[in-house]
Amino acid sequence: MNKYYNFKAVDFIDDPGFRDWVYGRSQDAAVDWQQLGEAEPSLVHEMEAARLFLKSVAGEQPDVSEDYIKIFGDRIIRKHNQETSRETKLSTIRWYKNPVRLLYMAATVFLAFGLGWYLLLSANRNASEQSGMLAWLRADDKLVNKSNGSSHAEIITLQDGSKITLQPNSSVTYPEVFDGTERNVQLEGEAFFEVKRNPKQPFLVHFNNLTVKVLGTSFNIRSFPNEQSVKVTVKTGKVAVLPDKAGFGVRLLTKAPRAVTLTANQEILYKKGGDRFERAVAINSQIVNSAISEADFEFARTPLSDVLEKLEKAYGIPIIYDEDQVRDCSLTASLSDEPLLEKLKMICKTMDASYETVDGRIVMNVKSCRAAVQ
Amino acid sequence: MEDLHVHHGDDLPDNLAWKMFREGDDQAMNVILQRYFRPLLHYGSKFSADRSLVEDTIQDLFLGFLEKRQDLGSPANLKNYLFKCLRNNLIRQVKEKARLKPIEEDDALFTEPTNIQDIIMGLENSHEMSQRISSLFLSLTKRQKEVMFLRYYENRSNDEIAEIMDINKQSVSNLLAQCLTVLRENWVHILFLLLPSQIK
Repeated sequence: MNKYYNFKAVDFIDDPGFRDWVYGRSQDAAVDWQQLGEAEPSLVHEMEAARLFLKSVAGEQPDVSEDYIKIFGDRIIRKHNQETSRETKLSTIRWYKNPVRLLYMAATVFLAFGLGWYLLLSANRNASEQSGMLAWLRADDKLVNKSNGSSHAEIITLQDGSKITLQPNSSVTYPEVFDGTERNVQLEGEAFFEVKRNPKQPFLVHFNNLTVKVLGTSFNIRSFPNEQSVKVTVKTGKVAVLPDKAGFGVRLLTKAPRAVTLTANQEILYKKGGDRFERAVAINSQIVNSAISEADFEFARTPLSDVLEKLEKAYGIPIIYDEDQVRDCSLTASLSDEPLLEKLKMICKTMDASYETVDGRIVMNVKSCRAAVQ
Repeated sequence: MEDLHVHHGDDLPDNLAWKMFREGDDQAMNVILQRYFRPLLHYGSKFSADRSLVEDTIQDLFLGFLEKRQDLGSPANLKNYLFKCLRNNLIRQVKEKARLKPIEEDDALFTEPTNIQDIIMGLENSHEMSQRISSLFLSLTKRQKEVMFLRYYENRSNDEIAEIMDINKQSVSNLLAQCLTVLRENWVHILFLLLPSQIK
């Protein structure tokens, strides 16, 4: 502590530890500044002057909450999406310099009002339809309704060969024959779908104002009326989750999530009435690439980037990492017969690394190739 | 298995967050904002006391990033990069605003001291230590104030300050030296008034 006895205000200002104390940044400072002032009264003037000066340098800190920043960020994204969709429509000619364009715009505004009015009406109509009618229903469809009141799952085979594993307390409604341009199924509750591939006739599952659209794949939907959220988990292939087509007017006039695409081992969780889908990595992720088996996860001095690449290919989940961070890392480990997330945990244990799942993807942060000292 | 759900953890390093943002992840932008919105707003508020102007400039900055996200580079230090970008845009905005409303007074911090006489008067008349010291700080030029803020509040190195303010490293050293000279010369006038009991 002796070195501080000759300190002047300017020296205190220049001392990072002193500044941290003034700005309340570090809790466990190496020097007890309070005590130093008490022990050495000659320093008090200098320390106080330095403290007041540093306070002037900082000035007032703006006070904003995390929620405020969240709203701020979401607004930027919304604005950006609006701008990109507008740019594709408008040409570069300034509207006020072009009388024809002005007329055209006036007509557009007029039409927009009309369309808005129409959508409002149809939105209201849709709201009232939701309870009873099925939006996708065609006049000549003969409907089949299956409910599972038992305590175990029931398997239903559809006319096109697709299979539905219906969980207890769940029901599905679908036409007897799929002869339209789409294969529509209405779901309430939970079911696992194995869809026969047919690119000419997409398969659509409707539930809770959302639609899952696929060509051929397997996935699970959980959507019980008494639960706060719905969940879609993809086992194989690719599915799109979108707000229900019937809700088109509703979607324009109220907030509704934007469509997302899910691939194998990804799932979404959607809070009813919310305006976004949360994408996550499924807990029971399975290998989806038939060219790779569990036996392939034995590594001896394998570059870490190769290991991560193999995991990405095997499970179909994007893994994001910094190439520079893993350049010199290699792995010797047996990761066979472990779920994906266990495999990742084991990798992290052998070196100073961590992972997290963000938006249905895995983000690896490798601090050092060597294991952290316990 | 709690960690399976989507969360945008604080652990995500800057370079990865920025990379994900560039590759189309909107949520990564929110991670960056949670981390740097406050410092940006704080730094920005030194150029204009009009908070909505500063916030709009931050918004436009990120809108610009979104528009050309594929073409963005990977800065060595994200915070410094954001500071530099905000600074450039904000100085332009403040000039534009001054052009439109030349009479309007702006009590931003990084402005030139308008009347040196006032400051000297303030120093002589005030018996309040904090007032004397803040008038001393206000007597610095806007560049000196900015260097002080970046060096002492934001703990940036001289190299980093040169990068952010787009001046050479020697200018940063000069500005810092000038500040310290001003302080040393004026401490005496201020310090003899200080009472030991004023320390907190």
